[in-house]
Parts: sequence; C-alpha cells; structure tokens
Amino acid sequence: MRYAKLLREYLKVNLKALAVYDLDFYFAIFGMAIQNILNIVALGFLFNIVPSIKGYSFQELILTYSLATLSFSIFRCFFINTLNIAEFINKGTLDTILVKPINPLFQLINQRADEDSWGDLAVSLILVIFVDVQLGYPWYITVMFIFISLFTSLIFMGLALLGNTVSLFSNGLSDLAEVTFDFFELSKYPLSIYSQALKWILTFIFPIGWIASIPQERIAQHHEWYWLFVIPVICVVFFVIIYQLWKLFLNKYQSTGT
Amino acid sequence: MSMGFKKGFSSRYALVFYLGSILISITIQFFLWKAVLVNKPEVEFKQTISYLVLMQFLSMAFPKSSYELNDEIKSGDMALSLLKPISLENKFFWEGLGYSLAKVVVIGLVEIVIYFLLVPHAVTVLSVLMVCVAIALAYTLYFEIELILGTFAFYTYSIWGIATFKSAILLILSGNIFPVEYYPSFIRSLSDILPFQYSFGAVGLLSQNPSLDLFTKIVLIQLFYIVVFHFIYLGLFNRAVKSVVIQGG
Repeated sequence: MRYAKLLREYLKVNLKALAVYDLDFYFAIFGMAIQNILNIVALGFLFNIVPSIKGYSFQELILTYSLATLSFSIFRCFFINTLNIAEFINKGTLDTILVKPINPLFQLINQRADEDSWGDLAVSLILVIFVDVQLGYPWYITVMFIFISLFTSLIFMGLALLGNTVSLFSNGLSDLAEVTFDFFELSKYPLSIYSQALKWILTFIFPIGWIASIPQERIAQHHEWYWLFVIPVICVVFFVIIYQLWKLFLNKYQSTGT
Repeated sequence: MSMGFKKGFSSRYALVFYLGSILISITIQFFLWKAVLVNKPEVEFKQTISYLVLMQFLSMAFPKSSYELNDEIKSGDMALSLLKPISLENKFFWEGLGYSLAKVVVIGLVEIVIYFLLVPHAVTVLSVLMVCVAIALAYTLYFEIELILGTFAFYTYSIWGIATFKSAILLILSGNIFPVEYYPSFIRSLSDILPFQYSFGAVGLLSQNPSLDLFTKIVLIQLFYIVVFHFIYLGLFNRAVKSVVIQGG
C-alpha cells in the first residue's frame, strides 16, 4: 500500500516533468514513430532482394521486430532509469537513495520516466496488432504477445542492471548499461539468422532470444501454449538472479563523497 | 582541437565500450546480410559488409555538435562561449575534430582493419586519397547539419527529440544502415538530390567504385551543400542567439 501510494506520487512528478520540454517532447514522439516506420521500410528493401530470410516472410520479420520493440519500449517507459546508475554515482545522488527506507531499485526506476518512448510503445503495439491480422493469427495470440512482452521487458531491465554492476564496483567510472541497446538490436531479428554458437549464447547466457524470436516461433507458429507459462517464468528467474547480483554489488558500493 | 582530443582520451574506457557496441552492430549486419545474400556470389556479400563497416566508421567519427550546443545552452556555459574571441562554429568544429580523432584512434583503427579484411577488390593509393577527401567533406557537411539542428536548442532547451527526428531521416535517406545500391529507384533518386547521402552513402559508393568522374560529382555536390548550409546556419544562429536567456550565476 505504501509503495502504491509512492508510485502514484512518482507518476504525478514524472508527468509534470514532461511539461518542461513540451515542443521537443512532441518532436521526440513523432521522431521515434517515424524511425520505427522507416526501419520497417528498410527491412522491406531486403525483400526486394530475396523472397524470404531463413524461412521468414516480410510480415513474420516485422512481427519479430515489433515484439522486440514492444518489449523494449515497455522497458524504456517504466525502467529506463536503470541505465543511469553511473550518473547517480557520479553526482552522489545514489547515496541519498540508499539512506531512504525504501527499496533502492524502486526509487531508481521511478525517479524518471522516458517521455519519448511512449511513441515507440504505441507504434509497436499497433504493429503487433496489424501484423497479427495480416498473418491471420487469432486475436488471442495478440493478447498473449502483449502479456509476454510485459515479462520480457524484465530481461532488458536485468541486462541494464547487469551492466550497472560495473558502475557500482568502479564508482561510476565505467558503465556497461548502454549495452542494453545493443542487446535490443540483437533481439530484433530471428535467432535462426545467427550462428549456432551465438544462438546458444542468446538463449542461455543473455536470454535475448526469449524476447521475440522464441515466443513468435513457439506460440504463434507451433501453438505450444505451455510456453505462455515458461517464458514469463524464465524472464522472472533471470531478473531475480541479476537483481540479487546487483544487490550484492550495491552492498559493497562505497560512496564517492561527491 | 587538442582540447577535444584530450576530452576523448579522458573517456577512453567509454570509447572501448563503444567499440564493443560497434562490434555487436557489425555482427548483426554480418549475419543478417549473410542470410539475405545466401544465393549471391561471395564478392557481393563482402562488398556489402565492407560498405556497412565504412558507414559504421563514419557514424562513429562524425561529430555530435548539436548535443554540445544544447549542453552549453542548458548549463548556461553559452554565455561564456559567446564572450570568447572565437566563433561558436569554429570552437565546435575544432573541438569536435579533436574528439573525433580520439575516437578514430581507439575505435576507428579496429574498424579500418575490419574494412580492409573484408573489402573484396584491390585498393589503390589514388582510391584511398579520393575516399579520404570525400570523408573530410562529408564530415564538414554533417557538422553543418548538426549545427543547424543545434540552433533549435535555443528555443526548445532540449535537442533529443529533434536529434531523433534527424536519425529517422538519415536512416532512410543517407544510406548509412542500408547500401544505397539496394534502394528502390524512387528513394535512390530522392536521396541523390538531398544532402544526407553525401555525408554517408556517397562515400560508400565511391569506396566501391573509385572513379574520377564519381569523385568529382560527389565532391562538387558536397561543396555546394556545405556552402548553402553554412549560410543557413549563420542566418538561423543570428536570429536564435537573440532569444537566449542565461539565469545568472
């Protein structure tokens, strides 16, 4: 209850913060939406060269792309601040978070919302619905994809926290959290395009394959419904493991005294 | 320039991580294009990948002056910069060039090695010279585009949205993530007229077909756009600078 109340207050503050950059905010929303559309146009160019890529049609490839984007935009809308821990350390504001009697990760993720990723979220949601209709998938597949994306966004948050452990032990001098963006790029394409070794790494070490490629293949193409349970469990387990690791490094963190 | 170079080297660890990021991006491009060009000759695949590595190199080396300008406006440092006996354009150009050189030393050399390992045709001294001149002009052209975008920060106090918009346009019209030769004809015709391709794709095309005719055409268009954009920037800046308000202290 206390956390729900806090969440409401954080939400109010974050919404007010959007008003500061009003013109740029609209530019960003529009720019992100255009960027997504143009990315798809560029993917379409590939299909002027070949009719399918590793058995994937244009629509199927867009579905992989939009599932990855949906998951990543959920991460950006709600958990983007996990990328900024190095900045918190450098400014000394991590100390103020640690002395408060509230979970530090809860405070971190709620201190800032990413204003322009709402455009991304809207576009990816529209794309998932549109492509599902194009591919002739029943409506409940779309609902399942949205449900799964809520969990797969935890993989991105886990990866951001993993990158942050470097900031914690280097006192903010190094930061690997931005690698999350590279993982997002990897998740936009089907696992089948990668080599066997990379496929294995992206399934079992950095579970990027679970974000778009595996749900699409297992649920939409093979109708194996138990994956609807397995995928969220894998996302939560991965996140919990990384979160425990992150907490371990947080306990060893020494203030820079900034 | 020396300031920019030192600034770049002061964050050399960040640059090393940036290198990792670029290598991941090259890996994705490698596998994606391998899957796309599966039935095409090996030379076509190598040509495409080497083109994309060159584009990565340019994207990495080119300045982000719009962000620098935005930071100065937000922090209020702009007031001090305007008082200095050097124009903002010169300051950002030389600092940016120094920073770019630091990036080339830490990241670019690796990319250049990958490029030469992949490039499927013989590379002559003349072709290297032509590509280097085209890169220098492409850099200047991109810098002018960045400055024009940066002037928006005088009004919006944030450049992120506008920069996102610019990235979207570059994505489709510059040829930096997709080789120009695979564009549909109407987009190719459009990008031939617009300036964006002359910062990226045209350099890639020249590296693949280094002829004096193509070189002359590209350089002339680059010079034309640099001059035009320079005057556009001056007009916008002289208007925008009057709107800047620094909150003391």
